[in-house]
Amino acid sequence: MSQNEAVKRPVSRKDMTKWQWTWKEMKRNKTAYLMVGPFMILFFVFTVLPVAFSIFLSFTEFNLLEWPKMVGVDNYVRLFLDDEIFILACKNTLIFAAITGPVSYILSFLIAWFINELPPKIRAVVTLIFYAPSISGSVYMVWSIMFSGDSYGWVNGTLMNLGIIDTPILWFQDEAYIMPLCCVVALWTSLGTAFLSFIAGLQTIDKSLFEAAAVDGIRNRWQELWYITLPTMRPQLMFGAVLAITQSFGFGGVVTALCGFPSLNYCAHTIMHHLDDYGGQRFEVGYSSTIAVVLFVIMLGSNMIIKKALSKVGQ
Amino acid sequence: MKRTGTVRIMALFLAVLMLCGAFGVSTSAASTSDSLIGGTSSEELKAILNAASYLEYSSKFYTTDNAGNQITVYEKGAEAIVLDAKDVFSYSDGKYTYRYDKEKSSFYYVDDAGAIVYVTESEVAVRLGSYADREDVLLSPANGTLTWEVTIPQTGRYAMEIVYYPLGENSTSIERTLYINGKVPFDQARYLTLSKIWEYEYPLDEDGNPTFKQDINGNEIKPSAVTAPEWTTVSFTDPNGFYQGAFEFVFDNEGKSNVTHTLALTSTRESMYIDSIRLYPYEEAQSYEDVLAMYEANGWQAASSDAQIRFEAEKPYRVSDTSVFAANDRSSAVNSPISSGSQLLNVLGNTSYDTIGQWASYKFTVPEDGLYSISIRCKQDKLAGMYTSRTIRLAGGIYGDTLAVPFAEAYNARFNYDKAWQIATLGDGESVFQFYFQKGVEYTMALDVSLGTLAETIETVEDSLNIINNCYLEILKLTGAEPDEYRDYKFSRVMPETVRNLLRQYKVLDGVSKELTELSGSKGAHVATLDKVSFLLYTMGYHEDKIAANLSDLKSYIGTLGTWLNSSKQQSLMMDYIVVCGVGETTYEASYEAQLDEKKYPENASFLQSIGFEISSFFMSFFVDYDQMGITDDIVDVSDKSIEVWLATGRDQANIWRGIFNSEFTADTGIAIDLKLVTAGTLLPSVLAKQGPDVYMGLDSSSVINYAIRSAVVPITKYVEQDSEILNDFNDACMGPLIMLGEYYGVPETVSFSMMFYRKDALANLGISVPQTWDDLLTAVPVLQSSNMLIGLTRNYNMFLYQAGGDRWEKGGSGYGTEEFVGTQYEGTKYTDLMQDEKFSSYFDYMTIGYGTNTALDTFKYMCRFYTDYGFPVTFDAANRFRTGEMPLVISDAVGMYNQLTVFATEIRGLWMFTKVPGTVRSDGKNYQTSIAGVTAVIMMNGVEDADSSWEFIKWQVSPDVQSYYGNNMVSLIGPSAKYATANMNALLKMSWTTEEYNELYSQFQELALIPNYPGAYIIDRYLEFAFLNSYNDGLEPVEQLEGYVKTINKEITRKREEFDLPVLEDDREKTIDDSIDAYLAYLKEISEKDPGALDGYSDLVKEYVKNYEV
Repeated sequence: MSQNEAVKRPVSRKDMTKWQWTWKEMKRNKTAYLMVGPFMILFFVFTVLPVAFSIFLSFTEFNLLEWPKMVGVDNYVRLFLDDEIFILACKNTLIFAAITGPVSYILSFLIAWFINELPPKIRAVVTLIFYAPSISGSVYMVWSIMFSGDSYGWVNGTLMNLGIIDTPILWFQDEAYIMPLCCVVALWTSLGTAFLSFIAGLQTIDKSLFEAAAVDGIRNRWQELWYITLPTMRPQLMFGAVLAITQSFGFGGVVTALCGFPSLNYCAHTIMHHLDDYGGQRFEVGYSSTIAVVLFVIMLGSNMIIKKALSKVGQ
Repeated sequence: MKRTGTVRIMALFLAVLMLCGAFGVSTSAASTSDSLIGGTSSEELKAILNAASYLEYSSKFYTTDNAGNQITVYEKGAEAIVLDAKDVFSYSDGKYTYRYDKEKSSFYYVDDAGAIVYVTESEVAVRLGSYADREDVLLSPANGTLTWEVTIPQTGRYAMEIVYYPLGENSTSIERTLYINGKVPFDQARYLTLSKIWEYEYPLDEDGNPTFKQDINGNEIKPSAVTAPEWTTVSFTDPNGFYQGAFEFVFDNEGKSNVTHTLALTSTRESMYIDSIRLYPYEEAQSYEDVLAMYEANGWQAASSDAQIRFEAEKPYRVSDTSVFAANDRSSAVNSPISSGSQLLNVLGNTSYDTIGQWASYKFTVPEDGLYSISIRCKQDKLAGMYTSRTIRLAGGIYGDTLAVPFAEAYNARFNYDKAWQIATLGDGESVFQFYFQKGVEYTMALDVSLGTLAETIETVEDSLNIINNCYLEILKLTGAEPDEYRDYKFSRVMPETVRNLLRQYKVLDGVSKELTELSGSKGAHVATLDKVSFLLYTMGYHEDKIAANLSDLKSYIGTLGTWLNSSKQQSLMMDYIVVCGVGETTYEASYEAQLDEKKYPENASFLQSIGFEISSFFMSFFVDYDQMGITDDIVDVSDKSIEVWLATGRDQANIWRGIFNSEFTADTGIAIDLKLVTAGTLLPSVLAKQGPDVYMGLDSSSVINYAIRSAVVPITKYVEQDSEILNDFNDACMGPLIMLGEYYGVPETVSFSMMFYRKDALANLGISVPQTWDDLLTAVPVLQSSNMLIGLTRNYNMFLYQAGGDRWEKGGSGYGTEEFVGTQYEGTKYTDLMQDEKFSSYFDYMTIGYGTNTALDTFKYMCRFYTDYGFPVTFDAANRFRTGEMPLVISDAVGMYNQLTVFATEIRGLWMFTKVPGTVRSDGKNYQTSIAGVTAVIMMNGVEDADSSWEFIKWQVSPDVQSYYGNNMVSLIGPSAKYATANMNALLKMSWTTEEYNELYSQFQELALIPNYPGAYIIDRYLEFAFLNSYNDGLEPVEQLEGYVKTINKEITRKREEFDLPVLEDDREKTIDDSIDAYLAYLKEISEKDPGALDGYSDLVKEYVKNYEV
């Protein structure tokens, strides 16, 4: 009798350990797991593992060619307490992030908003023009020609012709100009994928919302923007923000191409550069992993802040 | 929708801004510049530049009287005069002048005291004796001057013919300068060229016909070439091909008879034996009309049109140099032979059979007596709208024993432009040539690259270019490189001649353009270039106010014109096969048209043939293993060992190396080479993954040290010591950077160093000597600057430092030998005796840098002054500005700049040279012209399986023969701009540099400085750059800047050394060397307790110290 009862009793969550339950659920949803499987494997192998490995390496001394040696938190101590250049690099990174991040983010949005008002054909052309600098790879090299230190560089040549200067200025090798110029170039190249996703987002907005809002008493376009446009395209804003952050913190290649490596007196040295310096030139991969971990944490943190900020949009 | 109006306007505005940016990108690539002329230091240089051309020289043969009749000033010489080699008057090698004593059969010289000194054969380069079956022939070495005396009966002009026997295995031709009575009669006599003769070693098939060797996949392999020297008789002719026929030289007796003249040959390149020189009255070749008349007079009939013989052009009997070689061409399905699956050698001349002086010759016999025409299946698709030319020379039967031009028109056999293949019958464009051949006689036909009827045109343009160049320089001196177009410079008052010259050259170029259009019947793009230039000259010449505005255009057009000349001189012709075909019908008419059976000799493939061929090629491409290219059966058979070699250069280089490895190394040693072309930067990950090669070629020295200290590179000290003769090939500056802690980690492969390039013309114009020291250079600055010219100095502080006797590193352990301890800051320290042990002391090398010494700081300040006080540009495009003459002095990487100028600045060819860098005179009064070497090396990687074979390979690869063979191959395959910067001093001599170039390179080689790269060295250049830029940009005191960084640099070096457990010396000077040694002894004690073997290699003294060391 009791046996029969036991058989009949429905299986409940309480009867099983957590693991058994999970296993059961997984079997039930095996199709879903099968589908997500390939991606998860790739993601794990190529993203999660390297990150984990990098965190591990940050506690070692590793020269790429010989086996790593564990050194505990030495690398972190050295990074925060005995590396002036890292502090400088943090400062520069933040400056770049502050400019290429928010400024280019807002700029991307505004331009997208303006362009969205154009007739479709013209819009396509104008979109391409704005997007061009970021598709055509190293197109920023045009800046190195414009601002070449040669007296035949465009800017030097023009200024000398006008009699403003009499010897060429080494634009990208002079502390006074490096930072401002790099910021300008950064802005110029930053209208990338985020900008494109904003345009896409703007076009998905249901027009009837605007009409309804007008009936409800929206008074001007700013209100329209704040209460309807932005909240509706929150996913695109989020996407754009994440891209902007990664991009602004990872900004380094352009500086290297324009100013050489490292830039004069490290004045445009970013965390990325610092990482390259130790990983690539000094073969200190342990230490450069430490830098990478710190950069990773900073990016993660700012991502969370942005998320918080975006959730306030439209309120 | 009013509200969107503003938005639209803004969007458009922004769009336009962006567009401007994008537009900038596309236009930015186009800047060019060019131009000029100048002069050099010495009077001699001026003489070279102002020498008359042969045109000018020969115009003095005749004069015109008042009535317009031509009067001959210099008659042809009466009869031939032969100068026998053994009657040589003297030989001078720059130090002594040697005479020949016939009785003693020995050379002698008169020393300073007036005594006669006889020399043995080993003491003097010149030699007289028997050679190659001839008695009493004279060796003309690769340098020095041979002089003869010749008695001329009456004033007259003579052509000159030399009987010579070329020596040497280099692919460079022999070059001599001719002096008559101590003077070079005209410009071209400076570079008289005598070619060597080369033969390919074809394997023979069963029938005894030459074939090509095939690899395991059926691809044909280029045969190796050997020199086939023989006694050759040639007349001195124009090496540039502007004048057909022999040069005539005037011997002026000034009215007297039987006057003795001297005739001297100065060697510039290569050596040879001379049998005799013959002066003879020159007769021009007969015309083709006369030849036809002669055929008729002799009653020679046409051979029947069935009498045909055909031979493949890719198998020449002999060639002028190894750059004329068989190649594979797949542009047509009816090329002969052709295969869709494998690469068959089927054409001659698709790369370099286009330079004046090159030739290929063929041997053939004919089936019956009679008149024949010669047709070639060929392709001339390079010179659009124009034609290329060949000179035909024949030998055998009625044509005599030596190759000679049968009639005047044969100088200009013409091949018209056609994008497709064509069958061209030899002719000069008006008539088709018929030749008389007899059965049973073996004929030789040579086809020489020549300018044909274009010669005159090209020379006119070349002269014109020189004049325009001069005009540009004149204007530049007045206005600077960037003139103010609104200012009135008053050109016609300041430089009337220059303005007139612009107009004159406009007329000249316009005339040439019209003439060419008429010749080729249409106006191609090639001719349009001339029109563009002449129009600009017209504008500038007639509208003086436009001169300033158009100056930069003129500069770039000069470059265009240079390129035009260069491409016009390239007489390329790709040949597939040659058919000698009976004329068929006897006409004795020049207008005869050869009729070849189109089925038997198709010009181009039919549509179906082409499609079929392309499709089968496409499918075959899946089965071809390009890595196996060139591996032959015999190699597969003998190889039981194999090593993997990586290199990270271009595909061309890799292919050349692969060919050399397979045909020379594997065939000889049986060690197979698995060569892989990788991208730079692959080495590190591969070593990390333990997938690395056995041997890596071309790694820069600082990476070698970086890898070595992390044990990724195997030390090869024992091999180097065992084959110590290898060290004779390299100087210390090249070897040094590859030594670390007393071990060799690689063998140098290439080396780069700076030299000084100068524009002879600009310097001569300004009367400046080529500077020997930096002070000389600075003296020249005001003169140059007043002519709006600059000096290009590529910044290299170490160069200045080493010249001044400084050192990048403070003396380390090796410097602390017992004696040297005395009088230094380390005097009286405890451990002087330990430094006797080389291994031990090498650990104390390079602990701190030497930039803090007074010499170093003074030198740094001196260098900074060049930029801050003298206004040397920091950033500049050296090749471009050198080309335009704005920078007549440039100090830059020697081989790189040379290669660039060779192709890029053709219009200034011959107007520039390079020499040692300026030097610093030290207190000992000597001028140190040191340059800094950057080395790449061949290394053996950790994980090497067969170290002995790998060393065998490395040793072979860097040997002089292989290095020079590779270098010469590069030049012949890729062109003169592919000079290879070998680090092997002894290979340099065998490469295709002129003697003058070689001497300069070699002497700089002797003054290279050794800069070891040690852990932490990367930091040095970084801070050096900071120090310089801070003083340059902000005018800060250089000494303070550099000094300020010394400590930072030392700190990093110390940190880096600690990483590798190397002894360190803190820079605070609190620590002494003894403290370092103490610490290191402690370290050694610690490790030796764990592993007693750790002390192997140290002397007993060191072991003793370690054992007794107490903390």
